[in-house]
Amino acid sequence: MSTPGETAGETVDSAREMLPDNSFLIQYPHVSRVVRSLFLTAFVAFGIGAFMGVLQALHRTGVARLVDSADYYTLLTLHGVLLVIVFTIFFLAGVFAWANTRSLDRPPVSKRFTWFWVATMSVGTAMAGIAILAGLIPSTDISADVLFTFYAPLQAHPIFYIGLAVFIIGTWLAGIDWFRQYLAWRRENAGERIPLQSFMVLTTMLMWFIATMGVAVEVVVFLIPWSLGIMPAPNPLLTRTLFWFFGHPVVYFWLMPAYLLWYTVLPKIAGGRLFSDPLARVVFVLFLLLSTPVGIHHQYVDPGIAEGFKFIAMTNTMFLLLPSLLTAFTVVASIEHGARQRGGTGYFGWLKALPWRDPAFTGMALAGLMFAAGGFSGMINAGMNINYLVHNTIWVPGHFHLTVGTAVALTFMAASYWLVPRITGRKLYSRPIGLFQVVLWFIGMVFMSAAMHRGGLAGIPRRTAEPQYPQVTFETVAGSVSSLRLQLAFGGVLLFVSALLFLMNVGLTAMNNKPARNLDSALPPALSGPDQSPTVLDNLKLWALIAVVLVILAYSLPLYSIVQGAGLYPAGQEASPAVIAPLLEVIA
Amino acid sequence: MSRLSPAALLVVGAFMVPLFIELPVVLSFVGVDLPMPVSLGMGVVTFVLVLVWSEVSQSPDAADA
Repeated sequence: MSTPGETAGETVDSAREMLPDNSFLIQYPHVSRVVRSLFLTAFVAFGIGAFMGVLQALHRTGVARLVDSADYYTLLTLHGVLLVIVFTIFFLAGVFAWANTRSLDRPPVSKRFTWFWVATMSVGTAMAGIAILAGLIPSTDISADVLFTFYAPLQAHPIFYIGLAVFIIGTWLAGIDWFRQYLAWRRENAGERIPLQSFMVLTTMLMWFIATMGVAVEVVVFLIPWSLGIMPAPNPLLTRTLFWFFGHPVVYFWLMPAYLLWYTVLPKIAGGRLFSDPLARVVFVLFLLLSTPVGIHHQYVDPGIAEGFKFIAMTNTMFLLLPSLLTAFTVVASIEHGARQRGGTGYFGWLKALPWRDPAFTGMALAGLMFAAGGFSGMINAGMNINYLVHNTIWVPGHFHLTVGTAVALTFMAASYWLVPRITGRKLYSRPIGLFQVVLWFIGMVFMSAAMHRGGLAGIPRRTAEPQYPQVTFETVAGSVSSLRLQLAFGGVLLFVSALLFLMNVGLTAMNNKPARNLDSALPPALSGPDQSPTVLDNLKLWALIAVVLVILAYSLPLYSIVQGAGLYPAGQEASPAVIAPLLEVIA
Repeated sequence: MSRLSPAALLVVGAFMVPLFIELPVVLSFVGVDLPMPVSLGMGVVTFVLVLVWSEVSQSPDAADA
């Protein structure tokens, strides 16, 4: 895979000669190449996924139907998988590779192993992507119109499931690579506190290892054999439960890298220092413990799960508000400190002293603001009783376009304006375009997600190509349904324009012959350092063990109950490979 | 001299968007039916007023200059 930094020949070399010795690109050229490669895949997926998004926004609102409604679900699957699996995870893998290397101040143990997991993730992505895209070609019998929530009874081609499995294995290998890097550091730094960014990477990956157990079992044990025709269709409720075992913590897998950037990069850009290293560690430990035993809150309307288990999931989910609120306090305190260092005064006057002209700062700040709004709508989703009002309505996409679609995606875009020059050595093509782009994303998302939330309250369904029913009248709180449709479509178009501007800006940056300046990657020490927190916070084995115990407590009884109630496979189905059925009959 | 830089105007304008999108909803709770186009129009007018305020010189000296 070609990377941006390798395309401009002598110009790049002369630009690199001007970089300071302590710049990341000079110290770790190999890791920079890995990060560039991961970002390139992420941005290609982002572009295609964003295009699918605007097609859907125009289609379901009836503004412009450029594809057949039957193909809408292929586009929806592509939109979901490319944006929330490929864009986010490839980008966060790049951020983690950068952060772990930078904070441990040492490269990965093996270059070959690093490229192996990059290749594994890429191959898995290509397989899953081809399976989805083939759905648009009627002459093939390959398709994967199963949406991002890929559980039974909807079935995809085996290539899709195998690709997903390969991709997940790639992420596990990436985590192993970062742990090997850490263990090599530990051997030379016995008794030292884990550097904060590395601590964040490791706790996130521990959470990911635990969370992906559910989807691994779902895909490898049930979906792949079923799609290959060697096993019967599995119990849908079981596969749904295994999917949501992974499906909620994956939200935190997207979010924790954004938190890493808010905690460690944002204070630096604001001109200040992180307010509290211990609080940051507590937050990541809490996410490790609480992210996984909550997935059943996505299944409040599933009849096969007892209400008591749902109540426990709801309670666990509400506990997750704590680390988010701690983050809001710590990040705001950190940027306030930065503003006061820049001369800001007064209760609110310091806000004027922040670097609003910097797209990296403004983008991350707006992303944090939108995350607060997404948190409020998330509490509605998580409440067992009030969830029934909005379940499976377009409210839910309105919610997650605020969280993953803005808190995460906008943070990643904003961080790109800071990070891409550091891994390419090239000056950002245009800061004004960058600033306009992040603000346009904010405005577009306000239009779109507000319309989605309001439409959801009116009962308009999600995942529907043509949600216009002559016999049904949706009643809105304010305005009309037709105005909400226009608002949604308008917001979607603004978001697509913003996405194009972003891709153009980073693309031109990658080809920019002007060298970047002031590329110091050092992060200032926290106001309250790690020495002020208990060392038990760094005991990763302890937290991982507690996290596993909590998952067992939350899931063992519900899973046992589901299997007892309806079995692994629907009643009457043989739970053995179909290809050996004749042999079994002979034996019987 | 402008009171607000182009970047500040952009950010201020951005923060006004959610206010004027949610205004009809908030008013509906007190029984006022404000159409969405009117609310957005009020937002545009408010932004223009902010723009004018920003571009009007802060002092007579500056205006003379």
